Amino acid sequence: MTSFEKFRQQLAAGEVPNPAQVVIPEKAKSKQGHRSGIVTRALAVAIDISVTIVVMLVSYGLLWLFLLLIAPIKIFEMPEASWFFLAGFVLLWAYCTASWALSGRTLGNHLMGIQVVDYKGNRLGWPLSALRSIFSMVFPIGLLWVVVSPTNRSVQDTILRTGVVHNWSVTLIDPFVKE
Amino acid sequence: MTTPGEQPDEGTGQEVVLVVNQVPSPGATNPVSELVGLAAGLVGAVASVIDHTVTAGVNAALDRVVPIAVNVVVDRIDLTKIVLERVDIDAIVASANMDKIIDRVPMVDIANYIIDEIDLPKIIRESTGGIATDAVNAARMQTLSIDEFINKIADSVMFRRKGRNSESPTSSDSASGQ
Repeated sequence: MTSFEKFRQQLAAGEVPNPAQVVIPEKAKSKQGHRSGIVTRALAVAIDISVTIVVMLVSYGLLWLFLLLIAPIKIFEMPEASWFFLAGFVLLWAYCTASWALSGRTLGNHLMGIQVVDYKGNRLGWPLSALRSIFSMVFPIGLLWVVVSPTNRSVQDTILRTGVVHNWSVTLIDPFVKE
Repeated sequence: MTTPGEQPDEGTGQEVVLVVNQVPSPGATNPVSELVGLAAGLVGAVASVIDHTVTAGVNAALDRVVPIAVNVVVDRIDLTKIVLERVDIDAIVASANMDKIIDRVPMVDIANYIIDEIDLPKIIRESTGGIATDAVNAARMQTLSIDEFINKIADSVMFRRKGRNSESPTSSDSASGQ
């Protein structure tokens, strides 16, 4: 019989398999904690951008419906592309900043099983998170450096000393919890 | 059952009630027999008193002596060992009514305690990931292999013989000072 106290100790010491790790395919287990490659990261970015666009369209639709209540005779029209682009930019920046600072994952990161960490492997702080997301957005081509880099880092990662690592499970023992 | 021709047994419904009336005959009293009767009554009463007294006394004595004696006996023997050797505890447990025992055990409280302690909801969340894990894992495996393929090509183009080092420090490493 294993007491709960003992179970937790064994789990912390890695003597028993983490229930959350069991579902990870055998082949991918060795890749956990390694920096991910270009395709994974690009797909995550694509998912995030898609999410942002969907959120923007839905928000605009709701806003238009609300305006319809105030001024009933208003013809629906899409906003100017530049405004749309600017709003999307700000939204994506805020979304990435908050996601990386709070959990290290945006929705795209979560689906692709990757996590943004600093040079120690910890979660980014808010300033670093904000800096990294704005840097990634004004210089998206920097992501391609992952292919060239010997350590799978983008230009942003190299300069800000961050990394994007595979972490397919939200583990019982959160690596971000600092004792 | 009685076969034909036999006398019916007793207790087949026929009861014989014998009533004897003793007719007292005055003048036939015998002083000796009266005396004997009186003496017998007296002896009976005395015997009854003695019986009660003795019984009470013996009971009181036993009440005091028996616990002491049993204690002395039990002190000198290893009752647990005897029970373990001679009593079939499994049989006793097997014959116990488990339903009644379980009825007295707060099963729901215990279940809730276990669920809280091992944080079952979190385990379920993590195992399922909120999304069909198998499908997501399959997609991740696909991109992982494409990543490796691209990395291999890039490494060979740049004549990088050792390949690349994608290992990243984790916070557990930094916590233990590595």
